[in-house]
Amino acid sequence: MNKSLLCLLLAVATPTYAAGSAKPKAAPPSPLALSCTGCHQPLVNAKEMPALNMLTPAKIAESLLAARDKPKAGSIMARFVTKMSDAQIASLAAELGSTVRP
Amino acid sequence: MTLSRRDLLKAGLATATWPSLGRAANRGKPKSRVIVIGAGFGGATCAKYLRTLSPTTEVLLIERRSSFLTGPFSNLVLAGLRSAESVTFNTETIGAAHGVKTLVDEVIVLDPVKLSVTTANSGSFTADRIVVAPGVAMRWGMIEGLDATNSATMPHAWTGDGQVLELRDRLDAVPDGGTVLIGAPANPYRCPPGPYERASLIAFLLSRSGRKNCKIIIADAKDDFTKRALFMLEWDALYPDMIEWLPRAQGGEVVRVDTSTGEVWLRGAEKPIVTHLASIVPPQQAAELATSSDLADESGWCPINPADFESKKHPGVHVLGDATIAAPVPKSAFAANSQAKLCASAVAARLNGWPAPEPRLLNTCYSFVSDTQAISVSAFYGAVDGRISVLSDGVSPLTGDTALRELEAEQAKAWYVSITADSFGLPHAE
Repeated sequence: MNKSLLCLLLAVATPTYAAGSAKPKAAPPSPLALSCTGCHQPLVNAKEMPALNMLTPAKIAESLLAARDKPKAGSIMARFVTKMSDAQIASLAAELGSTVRP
Repeated sequence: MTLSRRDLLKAGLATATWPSLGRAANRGKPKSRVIVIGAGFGGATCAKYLRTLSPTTEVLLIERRSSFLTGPFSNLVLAGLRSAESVTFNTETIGAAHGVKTLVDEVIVLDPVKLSVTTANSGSFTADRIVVAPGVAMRWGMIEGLDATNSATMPHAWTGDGQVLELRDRLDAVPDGGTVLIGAPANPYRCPPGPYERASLIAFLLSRSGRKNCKIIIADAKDDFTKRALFMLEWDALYPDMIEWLPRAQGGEVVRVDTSTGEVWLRGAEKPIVTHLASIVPPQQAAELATSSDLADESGWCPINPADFESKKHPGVHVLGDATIAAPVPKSAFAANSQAKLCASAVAARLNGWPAPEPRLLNTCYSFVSDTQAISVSAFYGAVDGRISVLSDGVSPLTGDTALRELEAEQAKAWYVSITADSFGLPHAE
């Protein structure tokens, strides 16, 4: 893939929001979801760290529950969710998956 | 200041107060302006997300260096495991990738009341908000005999410049049986595990090149460090008898050096340690721009409100990354990237009348202990009543086997690709 195409894809992978009005047309992504993309980037590292914007809330919840209850050796995600309840994980998954555009 | 028309044209200022690219990249007439100073992990990320989240905000990114080496993975460069090019990023390229007007120029005055900046070569600008991500400065004068003019002879290699290459090249000349001393500073400082990763990778390099009889002394101004048990376990396994950690309580603090002879004096010691190579990482504080513009307090670091990283000293100015007082969040690239996203979201919300975002931050710091093995520490943070708290955290297991350390090294490499693509805009070739 050439660099300019990659840049374009990286740029469009993060949605933009209407500004200047009291309410955005769509809710801006939570800063926490943006922080997740420090690792879970579109188009790079799909194997090790799946892109957040490709995951549905249901898939995120499934992954986080697995990380909490049956963490794989070396799981970074387990460290973030180890103290969370089922309800907190469901809420977090809904928040993180809210920017998904299938 | 007098600026020629050529200077003005060069800066894109001949007909407009603000450079034009920011407007072209955004849609419609700008309704607000934000200046971001510093294009490292904090500043570059903040500029990117401000533009994305608030398209009617013009963003101007100003960075004094035309290119820089990242702190993360720079220790791999020292050990010959990565090229310098693979950890070098170009400021203009970053700005172009993020679609923000970018000036490679030095901010000589930041007025935190008028919200204006004056640059060395491109004139003055005002904005609705200013974000400063200036990094750290060395606190010279704390170690006798060491200052800005001679520190390259005992390279700290801590600020992404030519000292990294200087230190790498000097390692070649260390003979088998020689002594390498790493001076580790007191807290707080940039990259808490950095001195210990450096010791690990220098031990790896010396071992691999037939110099197993070398001694690496870590002379420490503190009595503990992040991931200490893990590091020491791996040192025993990988580099037996090569690395010696001298904590402050055992007189580890470096108090004086002679850069012409390589001698290093520790607190209370009658005789110096004669080194073949010393890498002295001095005590640190927020970069000079933060102190000169009254954003730092008496500690030398910048107090911020963790809800949006707005300066506690000057409303309208936000400070990000290593220059801030954000403990227990470490001064790391990951943390700066995370802070930048919170700050950009909060600034976009304020400029557009949206609800303030919930302040939460993430961090993971990987440290290589050899060419193929790494360990890590992570935490999830929330801000409650103006203070940052750890919501959950974890480190690599002490019981980890070689396969796990190798898996973490692969994760670390993947992380570097991701964080640099996110912060600087381009996946970087190794």
